[in-house]
Amino acid sequence: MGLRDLIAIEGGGSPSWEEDRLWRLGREREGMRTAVRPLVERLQHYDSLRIEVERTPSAGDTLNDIANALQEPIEFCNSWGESAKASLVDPVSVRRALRDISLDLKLQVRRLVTTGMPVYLLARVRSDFWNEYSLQVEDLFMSLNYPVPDRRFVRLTDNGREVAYLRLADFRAPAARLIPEGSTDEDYRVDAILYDAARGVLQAAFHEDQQVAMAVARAFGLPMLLSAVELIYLVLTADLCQLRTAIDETLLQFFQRVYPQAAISAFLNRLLEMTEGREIDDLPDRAQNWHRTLSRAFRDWLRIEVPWGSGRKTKTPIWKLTLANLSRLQPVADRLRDETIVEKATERLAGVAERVIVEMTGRT
Amino acid sequence: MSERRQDRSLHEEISWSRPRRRKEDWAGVTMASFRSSDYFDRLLAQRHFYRAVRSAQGAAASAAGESPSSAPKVRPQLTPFWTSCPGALSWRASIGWTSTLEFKARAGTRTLIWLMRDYLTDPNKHHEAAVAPQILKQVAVMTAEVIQNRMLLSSLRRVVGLGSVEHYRIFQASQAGRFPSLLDILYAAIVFGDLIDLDERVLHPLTFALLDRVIAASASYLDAMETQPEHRWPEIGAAWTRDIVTTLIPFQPPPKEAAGPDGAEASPAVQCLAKLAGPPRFRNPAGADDGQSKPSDRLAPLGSPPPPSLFPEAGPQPGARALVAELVRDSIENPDADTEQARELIGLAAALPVFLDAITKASGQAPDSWEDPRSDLLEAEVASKPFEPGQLSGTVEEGHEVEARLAGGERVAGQLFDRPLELSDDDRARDKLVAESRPIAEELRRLLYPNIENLTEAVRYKTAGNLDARRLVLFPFSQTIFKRTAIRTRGDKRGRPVLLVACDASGSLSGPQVRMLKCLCAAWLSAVARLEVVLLAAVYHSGSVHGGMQAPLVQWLAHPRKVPARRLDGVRALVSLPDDSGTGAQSDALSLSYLLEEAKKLAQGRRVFLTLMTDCAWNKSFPASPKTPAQEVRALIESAYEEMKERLHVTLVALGVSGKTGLEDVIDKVLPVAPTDLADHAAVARKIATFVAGTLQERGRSSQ
Repeated sequence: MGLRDLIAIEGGGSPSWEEDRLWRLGREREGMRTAVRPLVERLQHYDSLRIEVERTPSAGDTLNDIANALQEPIEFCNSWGESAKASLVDPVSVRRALRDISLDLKLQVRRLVTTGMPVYLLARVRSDFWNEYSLQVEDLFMSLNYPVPDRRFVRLTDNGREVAYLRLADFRAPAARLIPEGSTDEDYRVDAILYDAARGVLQAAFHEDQQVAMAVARAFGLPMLLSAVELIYLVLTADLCQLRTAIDETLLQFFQRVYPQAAISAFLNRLLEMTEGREIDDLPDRAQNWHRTLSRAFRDWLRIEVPWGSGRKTKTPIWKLTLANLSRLQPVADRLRDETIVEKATERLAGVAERVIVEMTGRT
Repeated sequence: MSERRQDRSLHEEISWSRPRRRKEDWAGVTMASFRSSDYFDRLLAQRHFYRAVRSAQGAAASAAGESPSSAPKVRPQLTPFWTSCPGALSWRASIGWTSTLEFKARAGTRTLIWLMRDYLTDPNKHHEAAVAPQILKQVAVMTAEVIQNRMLLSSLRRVVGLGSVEHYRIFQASQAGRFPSLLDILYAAIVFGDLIDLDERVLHPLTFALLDRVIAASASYLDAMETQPEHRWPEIGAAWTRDIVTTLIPFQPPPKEAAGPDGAEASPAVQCLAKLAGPPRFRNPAGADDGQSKPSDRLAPLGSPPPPSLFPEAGPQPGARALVAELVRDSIENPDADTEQARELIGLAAALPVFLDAITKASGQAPDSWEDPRSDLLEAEVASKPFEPGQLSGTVEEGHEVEARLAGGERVAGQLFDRPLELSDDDRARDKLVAESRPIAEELRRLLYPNIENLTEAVRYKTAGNLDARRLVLFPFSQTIFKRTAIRTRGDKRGRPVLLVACDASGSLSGPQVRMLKCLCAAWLSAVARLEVVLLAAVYHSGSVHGGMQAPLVQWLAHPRKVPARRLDGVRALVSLPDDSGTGAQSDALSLSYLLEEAKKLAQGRRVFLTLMTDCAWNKSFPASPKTPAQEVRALIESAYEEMKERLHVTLVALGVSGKTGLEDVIDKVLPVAPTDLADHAAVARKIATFVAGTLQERGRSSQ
């Protein structure tokens, strides 16, 4: 979707009207950023103090400063000029103030396991009522060490419930590079690129259930597994005919330069080359078979038994170690990678993943 | 997909025009979809889950030597679904957690702690160590409990139907952090030692030292558990406990240190800090220090691993408190601090309580919050209280912020929770209630709801098994192989109406009122069970939510999007309400406002029939409003009529009210049940017959 489409959806009409509209949208976005600036500044101040007490011995003054940063009210000015005060010790009041500024703003608090200190994510989101996940398109502020178990998703509180959002904020900076230099309204163009990529591909390719496979792929160095899983989900979940019509140069560039995923990029190219409807129709059936094959290979990998334990070594199935250490899988993988049995099983799994990719994309 | 279509009760409100395929469409619905955003998948997953939990609880009961069909003693544990743990693990962990607790609840005296009661009463008699006896006793009990849980898990996971117990162990292991207390260290070494990565963690040297000692002391016992038969485990457990307690003695503080710093040796600032530091901590034996020289007037970096405490600490900042304790110890050990240092310490003592309070509030959640508990807080709770019931159990609870408009334009707001009412296993009580309500149900069956029509439809002929050979020969001449007809009741083009049955189940209802309420409600549910109306039925009062908080509560008996049980099971849910009186304090206008909103959401412009059963002892819902409780209800109903006009029909069943209710001029029908009639089901049935006749007449007029 381009900028013009975006404007049309918002209710625009003639070019002059569009320009007016664009100017107004720009003002709104600018107004939103101005309105949250006091909060962002306070969060930055708090975070620098937090890092200081986490890393260096602290005296009473620093602790007082932190308490003040959290307790002192922040003054917000909402879009119709009314002001409201809220402090970080009452996160609900801050969320309410943000809601008055824009419904697209979300503040999520987490308590760090290590220190008990709060960390924050102030995010701009885009609700997508037609798909499974809404989109988090921008980090207005993110504390250092804010926990994000899977970089592709983030859990934000929406209407009192924690809901998973597709995390597109990480793609924002690289997506900006796809826009020709000197373009105006960069903010909107980046948004449009992210929406297109999400609606066309990422909503189908990403799923929270892939968490274990993704963690294993990253920790044990199996990029092929990651690509194969995303590709299979894409083929099985997306409406391929609709996707074929949505493929354009920007979308192809997205999977080459923003989220480099050779398998998805090759698949999109193959989809463009397909002229027979039957060929596209057959893809989900074939993907189902490959999904079964890949799942079986992954299950076999998870079943292998490795010597494990502190002091007393016992043979333990790797699935238990994976699930029990999911949030710190890398050290486990480092210890296991050299085991012959793991090495061989990993090779086998990588082989199956590669075959899936070749079969689905038609390229080696 | 085929499973979905078989399930007719869930089929009621499905929108078939999904814009995009979802994973469940090609992979099927599993119990991992317990919290899916799609209510259809969610309910199906919940139904499977509760069935699996029930079966696992039966297996646990059987393992404890009791009947597998006996009533469960614990509620299904739901916490894993609200954490960040992967979906495939969460449902298994929930089942495993529930069955472990079920077994423990039934184990009675067959526990290690019971068998070791003599030793645990006074372990100092056996060890004669120069440590605080009270602390030694607590350490011994804690150790025995951890070993008991290890044995319990090892034993249960071998039982057929209880394999998920191992998943619970894995789930619990995945929550382990920096082991802030001895309890965490014992669990890490004894229960999860074969699962988690201990060597690569950033831990305090004292934590490492303790882990090493406990692991070394446990190795031979863990081997013995694998080789010895289970009847010998108690003996192994007892020796194991004694060994570990002996191993831990050098780390325990002597009696004087355990009592805390006294006034003679510590400055007021140190005394103040000692209070913040909490209970006594471990003694650092030689070699178990981090080797860094620290200033004794500053708090060590909060990010550094804190030394472990002896006992689990209440409060969210055990790490910070542990560092304060270290500072206290350093200050006592170096009493020659100069004036500058002393000043710093006083400043720190003054700042720390404010700091801890601020970070606790900022990183926490208000105790009376209507929002779901945050995943990070739940995970911290799971890690700190292994093998104990979690905060979320039973059925799925949701908090709501309700905004209502009363007649006259007044806007009010409140918060309440809702959840499905748990089903009762008491079949005898259910049969009794059905029998009692039958005369009333018979009368109510004649009550016709408009917008429903009977249609003759051709349905595809499906054989159950082999094709009927007698029909097969007719194949070239007859359509009967392919077609047959059925009469189906369904909503006409104006759509099926929504029937909302709202029951006040608060403490103001006496025993006879509650019994009549259950009877009437059961009759209504039975009467419409096969009708193609969209049925919502709920009781409202107040109750305990999110692990202890009291709040206004709506409990659903029937709801096509929220109750996984079938519509007919609503009567079973009613049985679980107490008979002697209602419970809690209801918020009438708030609950009714929420119930009407739910009905409107499902009605989507169609008619809503509200049947409200109450004793008419109204309670205030909106403190900010100047209206009395009765005025609130009246204003709410007036406002609903204003908004929905002809699309709302309200019937008030006034239980135990013989006079006027005060709402006669506002609502469509009032059906008073006098106090003398509360025990007379026949009399109430006669009244219902009159009510039905009147309603039929009225609807006949309106349809002309």
